[in-house]
Amino acid sequence: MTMNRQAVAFGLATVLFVVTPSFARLPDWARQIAERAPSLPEGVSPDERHVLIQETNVTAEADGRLRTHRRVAEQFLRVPSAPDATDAVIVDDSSKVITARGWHVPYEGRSERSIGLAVEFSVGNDFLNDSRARVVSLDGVGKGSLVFYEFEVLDSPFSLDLLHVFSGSGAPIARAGFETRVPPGWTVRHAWLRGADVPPTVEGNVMRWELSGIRLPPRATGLTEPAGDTHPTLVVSFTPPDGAAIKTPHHRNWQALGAWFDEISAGRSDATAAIEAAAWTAVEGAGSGRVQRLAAMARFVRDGVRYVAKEIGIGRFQPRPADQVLGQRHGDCKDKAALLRAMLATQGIPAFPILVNASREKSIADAVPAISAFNHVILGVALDPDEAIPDWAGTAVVDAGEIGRLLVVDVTDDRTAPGWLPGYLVGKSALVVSGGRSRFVRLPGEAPDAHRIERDVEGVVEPDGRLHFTRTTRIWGEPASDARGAWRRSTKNWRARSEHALRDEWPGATVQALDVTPETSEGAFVEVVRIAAPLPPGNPPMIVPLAGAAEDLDRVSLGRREVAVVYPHPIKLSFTSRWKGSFPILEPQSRSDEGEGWKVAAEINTEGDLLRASWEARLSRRRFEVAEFEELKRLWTAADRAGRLMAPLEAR
Amino acid sequence: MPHLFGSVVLAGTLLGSGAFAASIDIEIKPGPTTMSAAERALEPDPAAGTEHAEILVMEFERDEDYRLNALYHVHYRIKIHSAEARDWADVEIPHRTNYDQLQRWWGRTILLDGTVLELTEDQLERQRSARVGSTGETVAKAALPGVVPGCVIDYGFTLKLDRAYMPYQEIRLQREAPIHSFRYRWKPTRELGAAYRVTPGVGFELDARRDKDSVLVTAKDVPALVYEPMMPPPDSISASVVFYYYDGSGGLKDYWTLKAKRRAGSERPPEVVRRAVTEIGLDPASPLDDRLRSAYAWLLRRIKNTNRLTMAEVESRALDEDTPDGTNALARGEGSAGEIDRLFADVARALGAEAHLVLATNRTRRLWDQSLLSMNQFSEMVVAVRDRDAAKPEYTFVDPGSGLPYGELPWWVTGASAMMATKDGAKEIFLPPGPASQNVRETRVAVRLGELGEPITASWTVRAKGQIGTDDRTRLHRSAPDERQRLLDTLCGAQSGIEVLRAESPESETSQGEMRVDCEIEFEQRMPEDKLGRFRWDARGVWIDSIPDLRPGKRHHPVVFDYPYVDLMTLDCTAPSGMHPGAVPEPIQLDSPFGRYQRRVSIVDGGFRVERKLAIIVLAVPPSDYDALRGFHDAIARADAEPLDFLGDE
Repeated sequence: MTMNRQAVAFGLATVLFVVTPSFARLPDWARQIAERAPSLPEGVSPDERHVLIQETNVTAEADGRLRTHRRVAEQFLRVPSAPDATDAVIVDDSSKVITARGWHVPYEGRSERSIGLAVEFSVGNDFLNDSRARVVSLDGVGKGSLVFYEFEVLDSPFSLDLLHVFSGSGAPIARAGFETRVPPGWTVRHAWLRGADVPPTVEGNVMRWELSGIRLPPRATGLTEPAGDTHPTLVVSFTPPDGAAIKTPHHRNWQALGAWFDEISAGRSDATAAIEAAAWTAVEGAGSGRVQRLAAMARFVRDGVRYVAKEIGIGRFQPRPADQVLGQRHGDCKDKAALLRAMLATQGIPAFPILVNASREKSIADAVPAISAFNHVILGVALDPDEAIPDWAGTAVVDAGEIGRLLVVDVTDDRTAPGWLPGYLVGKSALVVSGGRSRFVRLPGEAPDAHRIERDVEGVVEPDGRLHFTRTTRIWGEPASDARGAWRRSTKNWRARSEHALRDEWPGATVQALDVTPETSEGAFVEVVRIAAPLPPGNPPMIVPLAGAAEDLDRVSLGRREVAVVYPHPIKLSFTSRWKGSFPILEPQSRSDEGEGWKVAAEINTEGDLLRASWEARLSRRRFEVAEFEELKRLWTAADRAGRLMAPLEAR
Repeated sequence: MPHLFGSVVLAGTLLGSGAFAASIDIEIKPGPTTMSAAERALEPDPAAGTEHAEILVMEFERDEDYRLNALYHVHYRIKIHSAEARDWADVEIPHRTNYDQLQRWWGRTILLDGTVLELTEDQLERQRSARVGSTGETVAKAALPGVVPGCVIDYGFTLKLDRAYMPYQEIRLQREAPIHSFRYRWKPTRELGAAYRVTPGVGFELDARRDKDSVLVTAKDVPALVYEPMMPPPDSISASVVFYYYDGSGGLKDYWTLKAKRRAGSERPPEVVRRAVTEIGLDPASPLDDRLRSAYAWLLRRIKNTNRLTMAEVESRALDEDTPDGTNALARGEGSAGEIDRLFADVARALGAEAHLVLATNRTRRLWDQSLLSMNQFSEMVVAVRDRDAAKPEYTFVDPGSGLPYGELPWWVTGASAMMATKDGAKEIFLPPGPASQNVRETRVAVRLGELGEPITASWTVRAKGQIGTDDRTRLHRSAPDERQRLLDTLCGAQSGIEVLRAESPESETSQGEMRVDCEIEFEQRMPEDKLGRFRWDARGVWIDSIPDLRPGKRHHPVVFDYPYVDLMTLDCTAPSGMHPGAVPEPIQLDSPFGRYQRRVSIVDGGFRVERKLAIIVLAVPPSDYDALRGFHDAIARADAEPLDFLGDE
């Protein structure tokens, strides 16, 4: 007993002597963490800092407000790149910051509380919004520093759901907890959109999820999945009991969410005389086909209404009236969709808003309806069942069941032609809004034909050995969007890049003409280049008719890569080459290779003084896990080999 | 060697003396509400920089002498040519919350059909962009309506700024779009010394007039700045206007004299330095140049450069409480780059040399502009030393703080003028670039084409000295282990189609000196699987820096290289299994005023050996020589592209 008392006394003395001076000004929760903080690793740590604990508690108040309390503890493992450490909470006009404070314990130093005035910065890329970062900044941070942050925010949200991303802002997280509390009678639905699918512990009205050892995926350059899809993500939806007097929208199912969007959009797509006049102007000369007419109106809105986002309050979800959008000629995605819907209505063409997430690959959980699942609005335009769909528009058609077949149109993306879909929409789950009939569809564009690059070379080997050839490139789908975007940004830079690539392929070449049609009526981007070149250097001189064919297939270095290769969309590449000249007779040759989700084929033959060669690669899958890199290398090798399959031919 | 770039400037101080214009008052007011015939007729022209828009009117008046406040008037009138330029109609007016006041606003869109769409002041939207306590910044925002290609937008505003003046304001006139009409009237506060500087451009009118308390700068038909690869820094070639306040009185010469004298310090080295020099034990009878070199080497060994610590050193010092103390770098045994430079100047003086500190700019960002009274132009320091008793005393420029060998300077300070600080004042001095022979890269490559169906592999070692790889060397030196490996992988060509198997560089104690990188890679490309009659291998690879692609056509600006250099490569390529070398390419030698190129191919050990030598001996090439330089580059590119030809064994 005496011994024990002595031990306790010694322990207290130690604590008082060692701990109290350092951690005296820390709150209890932070002091407990500080006392158990791990020692610093030997040598140079690969991580500048790590999160010791990240704790988030969300409490639903009986009146529908959400109170979020967050605590974070971090330790700096090496000399920081900046002497300040900051953390922030994002708020808007519907929220109130109750607490925002921080503490800093320098290595073997005394704790200091953040002092100074409240600091807020607006955040986001919108032209106008009310989102702000409430910042806590701690200065003098160095190696070994412990920093602690605490935030409490009371929010009156526009929807009783939220996404929680377990992110340490670039640092690994040792332990993270997320907790919900609800009043009696409320229910909480949840789903992991990404992560370990850890079940919650439930105690009364408290649900708690705990994760540990969260590390960022290893760094990789190129062909990676979207940045937002790299952290464990939980979606949570709160439902009050029936009859509760809660004004905040909450949705029992996705149909209810669709109905809510319909409700707040009511009247916003009403046509006016000005809208009808604009519609008639747009369709003038477009022909009588529905697809041609709707494409003409889509171009009108896409090109004539500039993107200006004003995301304030309910304006984040509710479109502005179509006549206002037309009058001002600016608006965001939902505004532009509303205007197009109104214009289509004047032509007797029904259309439906489609809610989708433009940046996350997976944002939908079947059992957890959440408005936070979406960040973009596009339009599904009803097709005439009795009218054939032109080939060029086929890749953007989706079957929406009882709503009918729809042509999916995104008039916000001014790079993408009607009838085609940008890569960021391909294969996404999206909610077609039609009141109680609202339903999910899987957006089209997943076939290689929906994203094509077709190159066609016609050339002559002159008797004096000089080459003259014309290269025509037709691009469709997302590659066309990319090309169109680059062309619109700077025609001069486009020409420079195009000419550079050609001179690299054909040393000494001169580009005699370069013409671009950025968007044909069928949605293609077309470039035609006329080139004169000496025979490529070499003894004897030769030409390789399919040279460069495989270069449109994006690749990355796999040697040290530890994450999957993710193509943004499927793709079909083709290259044909026809040369007139004096060639030796060549036995026809062909070659094809295929693997899981890809196929490559090429052939060459001569006929009289004509040399013909063709090459094609189809990639229908988008993802190659690390274990599948050998398969990916097979694809790349096959594409290269097919391009070189033809023995280079001598010009006689 | 001539200076790289230069300009004539209009400059002056606003001190109430000199000849004044009668009146330079201007009125900032809305433009016409109709589109003139000339405005209507404007068409986009990518070559003239009008692909997206052109600025018809850009005018400002800033009165910083307005009852302790400032009045800031702004007016823009812009012709929109493309959808890309519609964002120009998103107007943002930042100002201090609760202090500044938006007193006037107008904004309108004038369509081709004559329709005028107004955005009135009450339609402006306000967003608080920052808040610190009760103060902060608010942005008044206007998205002008109806903006489509072909329209003209016209907007302007007046801000009353509470007790605000801009210490330094630079307006670059040549930007991505041309400006038809430019006016800026600046009326500085009388409380401070004020000055302005105008750098004219080529082919347009630019004028500065002043009255007793303000200056008015006007310009007409200012062309867009043409961006070209390897051009000088835009700030050094664009017409610009600078208004600023400065600390002091008097004119340009007084300013630099005063600043230089302050920097020059005492010519008598401190006692501690004189004692240290004695300790080095240099033979006083040896030539001064030898003693300076020995002292330079001693200094680099003796003083740890705290600006060039490795990441491991930084980390170990972070928790070390026993960091050296003392005001003198000699006593501490360590010092910053600037301290080392100053210390060497003292050492040189103690040895009997004339030594001066030289303040320089980073020429990739800006050049020293003597008409701009600001020491902030200088970001670099070097030392000039010479034997004042020599028959023909000439300066040698050194930079011990950079860790470079004696007589070498970081390339970004060379080829431009700098300010030498002497006890008599400032002296403009040209820092010459080092010769190509100082900057040499030598690469030895072994390529194995191997068996049919097998991967193609290559290994090589690159050794670089002088300025080549300076940046890479410094970054390697300062990087954490994982970042260092990523950098090495990049240096060894990690990219699509290439797997880096090995990328190493021996750790060096300093971030300077020779850099060596050993690389081993495997190409994704494999040897064909079928027996071949002929196989061609393109010897270009990641081991050769690609020759800059210079587009045909008119060149507007000089082509600027970082530094003259020599690049040597020897590549041995084995014959694929069952094949032997075919015809040996003809040797190629190219001589030009810009440099020399040689490529010689021979058969060695049953394979090909390629020996390539490239020397670039110039720093800058004027536009008049552009076609000749392009021809030289094209010839090199074509020579490099000549493949190695292997034939199947019978």
